[in-house]
Amino acid sequence: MTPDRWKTVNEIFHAALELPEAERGGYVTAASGGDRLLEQDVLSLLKADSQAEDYLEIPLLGYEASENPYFLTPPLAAGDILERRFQIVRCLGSGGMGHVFEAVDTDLKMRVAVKVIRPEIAANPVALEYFRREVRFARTITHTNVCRTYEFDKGWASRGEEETIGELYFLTMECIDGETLAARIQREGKLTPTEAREVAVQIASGLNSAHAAGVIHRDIKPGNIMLVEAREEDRPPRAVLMDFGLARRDPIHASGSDSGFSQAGMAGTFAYMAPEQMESDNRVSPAADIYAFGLVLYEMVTGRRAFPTDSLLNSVAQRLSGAIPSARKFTPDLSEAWERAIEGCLRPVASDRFQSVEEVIEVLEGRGAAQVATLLQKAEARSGRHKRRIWIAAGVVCLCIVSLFGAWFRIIRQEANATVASGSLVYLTPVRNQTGHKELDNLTELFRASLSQSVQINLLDQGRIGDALQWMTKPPDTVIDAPTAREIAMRTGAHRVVFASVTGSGRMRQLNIDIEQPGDSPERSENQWRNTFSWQEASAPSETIPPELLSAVRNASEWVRSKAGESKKDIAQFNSLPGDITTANWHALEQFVYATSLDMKGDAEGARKELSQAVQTDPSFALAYARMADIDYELGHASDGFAAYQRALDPGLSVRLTRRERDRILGMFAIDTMDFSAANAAFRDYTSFYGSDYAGWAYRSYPLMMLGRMDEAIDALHTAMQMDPNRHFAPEMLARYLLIEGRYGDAALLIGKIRALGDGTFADAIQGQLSFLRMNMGQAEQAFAQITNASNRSRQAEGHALLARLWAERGEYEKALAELSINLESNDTKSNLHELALRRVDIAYVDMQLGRDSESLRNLKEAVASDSDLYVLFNGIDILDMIATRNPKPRVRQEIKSILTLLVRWIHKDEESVADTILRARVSATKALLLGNAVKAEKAFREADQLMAPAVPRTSFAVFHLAAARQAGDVRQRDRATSLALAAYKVAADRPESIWGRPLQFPPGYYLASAKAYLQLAKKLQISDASTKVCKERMDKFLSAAALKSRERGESQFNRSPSRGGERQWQMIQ
Amino acid sequence: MSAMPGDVTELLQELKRGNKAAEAKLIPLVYKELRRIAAIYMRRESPGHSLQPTALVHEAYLRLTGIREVDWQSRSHFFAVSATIMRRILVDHARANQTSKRGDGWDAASLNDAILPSPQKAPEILALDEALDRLALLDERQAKIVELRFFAGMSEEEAGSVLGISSRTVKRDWRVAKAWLFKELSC
Repeated sequence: MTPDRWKTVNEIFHAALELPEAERGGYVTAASGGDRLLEQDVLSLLKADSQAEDYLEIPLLGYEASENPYFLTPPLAAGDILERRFQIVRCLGSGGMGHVFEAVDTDLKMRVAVKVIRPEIAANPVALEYFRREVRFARTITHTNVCRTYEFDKGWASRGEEETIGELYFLTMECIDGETLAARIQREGKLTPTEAREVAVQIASGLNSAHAAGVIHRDIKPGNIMLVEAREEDRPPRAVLMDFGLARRDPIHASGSDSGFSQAGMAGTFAYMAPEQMESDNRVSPAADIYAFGLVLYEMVTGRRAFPTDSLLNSVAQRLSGAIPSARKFTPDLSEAWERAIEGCLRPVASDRFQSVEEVIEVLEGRGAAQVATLLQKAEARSGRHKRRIWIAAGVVCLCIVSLFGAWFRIIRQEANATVASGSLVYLTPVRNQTGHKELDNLTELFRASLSQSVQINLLDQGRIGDALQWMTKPPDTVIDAPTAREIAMRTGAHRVVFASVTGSGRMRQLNIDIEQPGDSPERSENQWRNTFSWQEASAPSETIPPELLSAVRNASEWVRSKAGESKKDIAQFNSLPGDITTANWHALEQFVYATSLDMKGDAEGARKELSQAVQTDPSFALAYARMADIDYELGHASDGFAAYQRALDPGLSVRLTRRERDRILGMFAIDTMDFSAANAAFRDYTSFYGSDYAGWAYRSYPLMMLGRMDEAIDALHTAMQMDPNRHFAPEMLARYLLIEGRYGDAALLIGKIRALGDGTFADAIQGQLSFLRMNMGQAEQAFAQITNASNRSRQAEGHALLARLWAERGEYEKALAELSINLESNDTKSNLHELALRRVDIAYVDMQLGRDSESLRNLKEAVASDSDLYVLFNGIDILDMIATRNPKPRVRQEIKSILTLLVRWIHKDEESVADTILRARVSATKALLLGNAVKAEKAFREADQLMAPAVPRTSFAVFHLAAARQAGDVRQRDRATSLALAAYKVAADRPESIWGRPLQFPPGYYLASAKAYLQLAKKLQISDASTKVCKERMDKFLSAAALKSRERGESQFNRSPSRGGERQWQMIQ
Repeated sequence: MSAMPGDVTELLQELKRGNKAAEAKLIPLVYKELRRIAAIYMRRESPGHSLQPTALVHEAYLRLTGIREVDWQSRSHFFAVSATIMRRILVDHARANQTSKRGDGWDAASLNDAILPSPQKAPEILALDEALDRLALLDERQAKIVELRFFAGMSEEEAGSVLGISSRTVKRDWRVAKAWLFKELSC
């Protein structure tokens, strides 16, 4: 082969490629003019070409740098399922962060985009934090013209029935169906000025919202703008700004930065970069986006790039010299306005440019600022999906948080500045029935159920209404007239009040709806909207609620929802007929409504009775089951609650629940049965659709915490507090978690806030816990004592329980027992049986610590016989284990066995939950211990351990290790087992806050027991280090003077337990 | 020891004037800079960005010449030179992997190993390098394009800029070069 010949080969090769495949062979033969070798060369080259499409396409360094074939191969393929919910359809492409897939949300039957994060990025905690922040910021931008981000989480991917692919971090986003602006320009050339203007205004609107939220996009280009065709002929397409993947907040510069997170390298495509961005990434401001925006404008009206190549070479120079080719050169009839708009964006010095997108549009449109603002708002509305946020007074949110958070000011303030996600609080007043037909009294519930499906509206709950009435010094059963309703709205911050009445004569009925926007006085409203929905009654009254009525209610709710700014798409997504999500039976509905009113009055028992009547009337009344379950758990009837939740979640019934309700129940049920992954998934789903409902976020924090994902848990609580700063639930949980994390200062700051929100007793509890951890025992005692004076019975009981724990940790066991007995005496009514059982377990634990095994078992037996709460069962089994290893007498053994039998009765035979499986394994373990089979016992415990949540302390394990140590074959084995036991105790002993962050989850004296055991084992293994020193010092400070004295005198409880020769050493540990 | 902005610019001017010797002088300077930057890249936690050779080279260029340089010709020379450097580094590294002896002169191993291809790729890289030399005898420009695209990771447009040809031409050349290399290396 010579260069000349090669040239010829090239020519024929390229010419052949222009032809359809079938014709190529013939062409080559002809073109080769008889030269067989030439023909062969070209043909073989063509063959190679057909195989070499991907060959060398990935640059050598580019591939290897990621050090992972992942970079080449997408981790998921069509058909794979992520988190049992997202079914992958195809891979849409990949970027620096990972691959993006089109997927179907099989639950909701809608398309989403799923971005899977590359594992090497996910493994990097700094990068992960970056992502979580990115999502937090991206979520704050809910704007039609910005691609919506839903959720970021970790999940399992599987292929088919059997194969598990692995756990991945992924992001779900809106799936946009359309083509990029880049493709459109390439296809059809430049846009008309009208078309270009439309896109410009829409993108400006979206970008504006991002800048307002403090987010810079950094990668605006036609390739990142999607155009979605409108469904209606004459409507403009919707322009969506994509891939905020590189965007982040104004950088928090190194000094005083809270994260130390280093800035990413060169970000953004060179072609659309502002000159300052090319120089250095650190000082990028919104002006960089303006620059890129200008380039996009240019390209839209000329069909060409302002800077022709993607090459760095010419571009930088041209940008800096300011030599921007005039757009008019390519589009002669371009208006002056366009020229000026573009020019003003493309000035080389950032501070010379337009400082906001609004200014650009002002010039483009030739209008003033106010008009432009309206224009941008309208742009959002025009393209079909609106998330108007004008109902949320952002200022109010800011104030609340800033004034109460003090030192957190800097961190929280940035979040408060973020535009709050859509969500409006609506007060639905009871429907006034003016027809004289009794059954229509219950219309409110149907209307309420309909509205509760809304992703935009959060209905004001009865609790808050009750609170408001209290402030107004009105009785709870006050008749709500218009002025009262308006005042309630003003006090609770509701944005709208909905009044409704049902009227009618003959067979016609009307549902008249009045939406009011509260003003500054209960006498008037700021704004009003009215509508009427009618239907015709069937001639004969029947058991079933007429479909015409249900339709009318639905139509009414659709109208209210659209008035609230909810998009058509969102409304359609969750829009079941009210009868389908409650009941279509009048009688059952009435019973349900009555039950609700009883519950409001505090008669939980009565409410439950009524609800069970309702489900008898209508056996598929899922919502009624759900409420029953809620009440059961409240009353401590875990077993009944379990059954009721199961019924509600039964596949046949659960269709009769709104998504919100279903997720809530799934989540609560999962928490109650210790399946925290499922709980997280359920609440994640909840928050992805009802992102403005604080409940989802608050609930989600608990499973996250139990899964060991404390950062995310705290994050979720912050979000919850942002959504609704007036609730005390989230700050309370947060205070607890902060204590667990050892962030005492931060927790302390919350105490004031919680008190201000009205929950003084909880504030006292946190105060007491904090004081204890800071070794200020007097203060702790005082705080807990305060709680025993609470007005609420169960709170009082908690106060005593906390005091008991205080004494027990201080080594004053008798005092602790006395405190617990106070509870016993007063808890004689049926409704307090649950508390009784809990305290019995506490007493059993203390007795066990004191070596009073028989007494301990007596109390335990009574508790287990009557109550299936997991606190009872799990602590119960811990106690049994410890007693079992003390080589008990036959009678005691018998007792242990009979308690185990009682315990086993609570384990569900069919439909075993996670908690059931754990319990089953634990029971096996205990039985093995009793038989002296330490190996079997340990094995069974391991089974349980695998299912236990990461956040559950594993001190129970120590008992098994010690048993194994005792039966060890040689010294080495024994010491090893002992070390394992030591390690188990050490985890708790090192961190008292892990227990005292939520003391009522643990029996009294749990910390002290762990610490004692730790120190004893350390002594045995002759370990003396910083950890043991600290623990010992701490213990000395915790123990009361009296306890210290008796320890010195050797009169400790250690010696009270029966000792048997060689067993003595082991018994000391328990 | 580190290059002063003037040095590189001057050398680039020399190169532009056709002085081939300037290339030899440029290489060590640029190489040092590339190495330094690569190390920084690897140390930085840069989520979402794998090492992009063009970015690397761009940054090296900025640092060595200062951004105010307007002469695009110098820049494209710089890039072309960088691509050659990268190729040599990678090939030598592969050779070192292959024979477990240090390659001469380049001290390739001092580049962060994490960014260099794994030893498994070594035979492929060496074979490619050799084939590329043969391609250069048939069509120098096509071989250069492969160098720019595969070793320096440039896009078709960037390659076109460096060589002063349209990206359409680059596409054509790239396609046929790939096919030829594929053919050569799969027998």
